[in-house]
Amino acid sequence: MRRALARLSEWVGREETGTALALFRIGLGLCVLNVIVPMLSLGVHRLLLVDVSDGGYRTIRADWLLELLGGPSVAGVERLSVMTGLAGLLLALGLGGRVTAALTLVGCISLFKLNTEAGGGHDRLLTNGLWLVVLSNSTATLSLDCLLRTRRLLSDRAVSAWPRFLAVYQLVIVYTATGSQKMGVDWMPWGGFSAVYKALLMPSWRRFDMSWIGPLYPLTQLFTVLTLIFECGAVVWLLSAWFRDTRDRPGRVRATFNRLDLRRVWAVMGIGMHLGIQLFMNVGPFSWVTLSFYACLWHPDEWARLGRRIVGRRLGISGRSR
Amino acid sequence: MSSRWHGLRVAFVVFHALAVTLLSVPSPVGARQDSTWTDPHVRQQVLGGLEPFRGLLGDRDDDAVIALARALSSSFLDLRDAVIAPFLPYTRAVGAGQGWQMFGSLNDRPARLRIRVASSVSGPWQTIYLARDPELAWRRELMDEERTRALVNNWSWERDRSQYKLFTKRWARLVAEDHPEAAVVEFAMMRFKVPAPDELQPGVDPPARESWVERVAVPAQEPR
Repeated sequence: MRRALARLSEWVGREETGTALALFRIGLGLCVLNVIVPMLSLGVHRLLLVDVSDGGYRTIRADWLLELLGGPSVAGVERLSVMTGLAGLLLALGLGGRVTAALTLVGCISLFKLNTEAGGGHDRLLTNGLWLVVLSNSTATLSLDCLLRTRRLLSDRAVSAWPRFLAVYQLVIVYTATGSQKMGVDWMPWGGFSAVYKALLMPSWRRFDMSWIGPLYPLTQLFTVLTLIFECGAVVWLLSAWFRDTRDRPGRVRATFNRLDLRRVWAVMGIGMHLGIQLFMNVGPFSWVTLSFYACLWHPDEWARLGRRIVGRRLGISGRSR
Repeated sequence: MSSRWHGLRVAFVVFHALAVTLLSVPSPVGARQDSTWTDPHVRQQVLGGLEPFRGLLGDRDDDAVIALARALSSSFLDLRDAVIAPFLPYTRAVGAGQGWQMFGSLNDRPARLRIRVASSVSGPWQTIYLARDPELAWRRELMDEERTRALVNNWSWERDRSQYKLFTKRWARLVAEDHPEAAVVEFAMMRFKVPAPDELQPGVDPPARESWVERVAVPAQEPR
């Protein structure tokens, strides 16, 4: 027990450069814009998020923030949306540190709870991510804050690593929870593994006419099985991190994990799944929000190496952990 | 950094991890509502999911199996509610709520929203919108926007008809803005059975029947 606590304490005390958290921040900031801009430009908020007394379809209750901004009226909701959108933009640009992150978070919380019937899992995942950004120093690098502080866009300033670890943990939680709840008969062998086939035909979510997929049914069955394996097996990411961290210890399973880098295998599966969902279905920004979390799967050193490979020159950051 | 501050940080990380873990434990949607357990789709899903285990359930008939599932769900929810209660104020305040049931079961009989207009109740009716139809595409961008889709999806599952009625009243006014000739706007959820792969015909919509038909005279309410 004492050894476990010591390890936990050491793990929480770790520091690293801020590249991964910065990418996470940028992704979430862009996702906020992806939510706000279409909603405002199409006027959806006037119908779904505004109280019936001002043109909405149902009674809407305002929380403290919306009351400050004018209540559940068109003007109030638009102020809240614009504020949240601007905060999201500043978050993506990395200006204002945790204050901007907190403003984006409270704006999103206030906005999303106006009508939870018109929301989805992406709202919850977005606010979960934004809270982790508030907890982290996500503008240490790749940000206007960094530019103002150092006159460079990149910095190897050390930041706490634990928010990144919690982001990975949240990702594993999402997949494990959703995988374990796929209990409908369509996910089962005795249901023909027909879940993906049926999901692609759901009128609420399909992006275009999918009546051509009949002959591809065996492929959809395979994707059903792969989805279950991927989601229920997402704990692989935690195991990979543990085995990498303890690579000096013996063990065949540990050696296999470290040799094969199953973290990457699972990430490729996940990226493929989400891009496939994005191509054939319209489930809002869920795929983009989730993929933002993927930035945290890799250590900043690994992102720095990738950056050097892409740019073809030294970026001038060390990515050293301490 | 002082050891006390670090200790607090460790405690917070553990608290947060515990909170999101416990809250992510499945909470069956609608498990406490009577309507859930009389819903034919829910019954089919529960019975279908338990089919391989019927031997373990003795000679219980379908109603008894549903009653058992309901009792177990209720007990589980009571336990879950007690366990997560201390964490709820925190997760609500910081947006760390969980709840990841996504496509847990698929709707065998989904529905598409259809909107028709007529200059009188006796018709003739003109269809102006059918969900995901490329030609019957009134205000398509608005209807395809993800929050509108999410809302309409509830009614594909025949959930919350009261909200549907409120929606149709408001949407009728919107329709009237674009179709001033209309005296009546009709909304319906066109329910169809998902075809089996060998029944699916490219470019052909499966036969659908109307449900939740709502006709709204326009202007339906006092204008803003």
